[in-house]
Amino acid sequence: MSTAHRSAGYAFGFLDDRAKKELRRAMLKAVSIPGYQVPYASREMPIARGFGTGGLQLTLALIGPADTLKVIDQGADDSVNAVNLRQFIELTCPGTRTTKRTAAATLIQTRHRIPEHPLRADQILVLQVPYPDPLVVVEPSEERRKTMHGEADYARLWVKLYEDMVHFDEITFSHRYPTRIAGHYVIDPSPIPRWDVPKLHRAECLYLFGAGREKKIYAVPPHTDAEPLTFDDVPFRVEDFTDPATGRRRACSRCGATDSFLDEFVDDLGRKTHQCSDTDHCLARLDARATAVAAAFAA
Amino acid sequence: MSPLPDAILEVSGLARLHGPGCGRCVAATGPEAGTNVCTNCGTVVACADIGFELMRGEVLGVIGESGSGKSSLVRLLHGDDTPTRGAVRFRDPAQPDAVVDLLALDARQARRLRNTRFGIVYQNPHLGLNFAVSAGGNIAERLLMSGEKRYARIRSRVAELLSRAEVPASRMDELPGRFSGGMQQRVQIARALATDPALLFLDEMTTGLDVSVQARILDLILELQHQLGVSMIAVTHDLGVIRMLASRTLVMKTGRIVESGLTDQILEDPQHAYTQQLVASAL
Amino acid sequence: MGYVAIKGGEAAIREAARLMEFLRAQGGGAPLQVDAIRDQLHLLTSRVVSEGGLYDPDLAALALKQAAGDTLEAAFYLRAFRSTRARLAVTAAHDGAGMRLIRRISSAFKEIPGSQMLGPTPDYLQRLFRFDQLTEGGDAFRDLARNWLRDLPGPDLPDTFPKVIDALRAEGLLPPPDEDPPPAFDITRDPLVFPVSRSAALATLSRAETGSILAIAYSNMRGYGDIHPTVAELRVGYVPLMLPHPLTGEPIEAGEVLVTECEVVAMYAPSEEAGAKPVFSLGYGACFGHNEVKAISMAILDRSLQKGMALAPGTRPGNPSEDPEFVLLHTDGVDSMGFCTHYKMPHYVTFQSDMDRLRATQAKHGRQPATGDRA
Repeated sequence: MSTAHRSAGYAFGFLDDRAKKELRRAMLKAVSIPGYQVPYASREMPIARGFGTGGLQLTLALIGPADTLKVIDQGADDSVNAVNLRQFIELTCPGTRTTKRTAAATLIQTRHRIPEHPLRADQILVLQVPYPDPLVVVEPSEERRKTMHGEADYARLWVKLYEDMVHFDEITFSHRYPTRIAGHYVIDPSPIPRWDVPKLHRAECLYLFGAGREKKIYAVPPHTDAEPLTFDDVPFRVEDFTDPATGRRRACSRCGATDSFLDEFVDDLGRKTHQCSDTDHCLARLDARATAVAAAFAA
Repeated sequence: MSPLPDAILEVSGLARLHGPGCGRCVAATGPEAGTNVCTNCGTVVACADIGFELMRGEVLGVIGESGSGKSSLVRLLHGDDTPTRGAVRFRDPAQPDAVVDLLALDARQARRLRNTRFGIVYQNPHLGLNFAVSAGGNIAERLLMSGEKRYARIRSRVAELLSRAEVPASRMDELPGRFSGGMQQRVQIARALATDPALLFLDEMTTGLDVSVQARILDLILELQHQLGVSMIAVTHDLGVIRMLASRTLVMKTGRIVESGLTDQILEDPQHAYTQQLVASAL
Repeated sequence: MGYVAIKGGEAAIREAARLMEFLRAQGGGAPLQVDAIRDQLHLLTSRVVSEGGLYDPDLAALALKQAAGDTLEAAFYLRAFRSTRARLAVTAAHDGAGMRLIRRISSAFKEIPGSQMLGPTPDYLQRLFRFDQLTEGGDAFRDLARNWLRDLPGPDLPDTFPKVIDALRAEGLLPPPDEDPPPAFDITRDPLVFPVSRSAALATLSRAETGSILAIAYSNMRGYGDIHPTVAELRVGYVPLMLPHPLTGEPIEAGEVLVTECEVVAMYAPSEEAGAKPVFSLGYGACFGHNEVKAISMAILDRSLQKGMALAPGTRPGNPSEDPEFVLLHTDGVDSMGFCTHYKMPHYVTFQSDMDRLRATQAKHGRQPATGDRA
């Protein structure tokens, strides 16, 4: 078996041009109707469903040779899935630069985190989405959910919050926190921790959400309201990193940051320890400290 | 045509047909034909030629056997189903200058009106309540739909509504499945009244309950009606319910209104043969 | 101290790939040739072209080789490859009558016009081991095909066979076909937005994962919504691939595609349409390759989904096999396998968030009663 198409290389961005055009149209629609889930004919990628095929399709439809791309997973550039996606994009988008520095990137594809440092107007964050619809926790039928979104009928989601308060005196949504966009559509902001939800509100950058398996695209455009659903008298609370033993906020064991989302793990000696989840944020702080120390010695 | 100043609801020419429809369906069905299935095309005429007014603070009874179209009528008025033709105009006592054409509303507006200005109590509590959510949660849903977003305020209002419906507020966090049938209807009543609605629909609300429980629930409804002045449409096949609740009554058969008037008059001196039969059989 | 262990994936990924290669080669056997997979594992190849939604038995065999025989993975290679190809032309719908048959049966009738043709099927084989195949030699193997061809009688098969359902239609036992069917729904270019058309459902089922649709069709057979199917006709054969000539636009035969096609007739349901004459109804299944279980399962699901699609809006279907969303959104092998696999990826950020909520709730649990009025 040897015909031409079997040995030929792939086009820039892997997908055929018409597929990219369709994706761009869906993205424009998503930006025009903030929070609305635009259905699109998601293409199969050589990466498995659930590993970021939605985000990957958006990235491939957006990326050009002048772009600088960053790929993160759980906040880290070098976790296996981020490495795999970045290698695939490098392979199929020759000429495009990649970076691990948030500030240097024009396009960032991410899973489960939004970088700690606020993004700029010239940056786009593409989020990978497993479940695009926040109503799925109260209504299994997609057809009914569509009507509920159209009528802004979110009462059952609110009742879920009420029942949480009744039973636990806490809202139990840990991540994927339902967030109302521009006063109408409620979105599933993807499995980012609650820590990251306030970053969606009136941001400088464009947030795009791609669900490959569920075949939906949605957006939170810049300067758009993004309000987590909560009662007026029950504040929305992000993850708490206070050490109950000392009453003080835990710090990153590497860079000492006390203002970042921390990964918790047990070290080789069995001690519980914490480090910045956003590796670039952590490294940038370490670099700045090293530079300051060097300057002090030089002076 | 706009409703009479004191009318809260004006219904005219309302019809609901299930099937292809052939132009002869309405003529071929009804009390004289003795059927609500069109002999020509098989269409089921659930109701047709329905017209009446409901006055502010009035309780209107709708009586008929099963299949008479009375439950279809409630479904149409409450917005659970869409009529084939006809008009329903609603004048909210809270905004007496605005007459709303219910059938001209889009889905979102209709839902909003239904959630805030109407209430309904179904015969089957599974239709009116979500059994996976606490009794209080069911009531809270109505408050949340009407825009209340203060948790403490919702809790106190739920407790107040349940107490008013004679359900101990201490049971508000229990699931409805743990309540007796009569208690479930009381939770439905509390839910229906949560938003101070202008109009309440009661669809065979006490059917299937013990006689003593029935009587206490009817007492509760009368008392609430007296306190709140809410207009009600009570659908039932039970003359006793009509006698106790309704000042005026419509009698339905095979999808049509065959007789209407003051309840006392209908019970004492029924005009239509069907009503006579209905009254006689109850004695 | 060092940085978190899970990270630093580049070298690990490279080594994982090398290990996969090692496992393939460690036994020291001869490398599998793609034509051997295609021909000797033709049912496996059939399954992959069907679930991959791309008729290319050579590439399917290569995919099976690369995927070490995993059908879900192999179908996935075809799908991903398909995403890189532009659409050049669209064929007209084929009615199946001109299929070059290798097998054709009807269980509805003892004899059918054009006659039954058993063809290659394992249905009536005894599943006993043939231990001689443990040591099958090349010469004896080659003789198998040579001897069969030598004994073959002259070609006397007609070009077309009448379809069994046409006879049922002529008798008024089945409703006539749609005179003016809507254009086929293209699931590779349009997303499923519910409610979906029957055409969209058929296209989705045609690429569905065999085991998934078998399980749901089987639930229907066992009584979760029994449609009482009878196989009116099951055909396996090659349909000509007719493409418009680039210059003249005239359809020309550019090749042929092996397909399996099944029509089941379902018992009539009196209540479904009031007033209409009772007739049997039809379930249709068709897919690339030779996949009989899949085609029959698809035909059963087509019929049961039609029942669900006919329900009034807002009415929930009584059985999973009648629910279009349930069936169509949960039977794609690439979607379901991928999502299942993704749970192996790190989830520590969300798990951190989960622990935060649980710790907060546990802290309150000790202090307050679980229920009660705290207004």
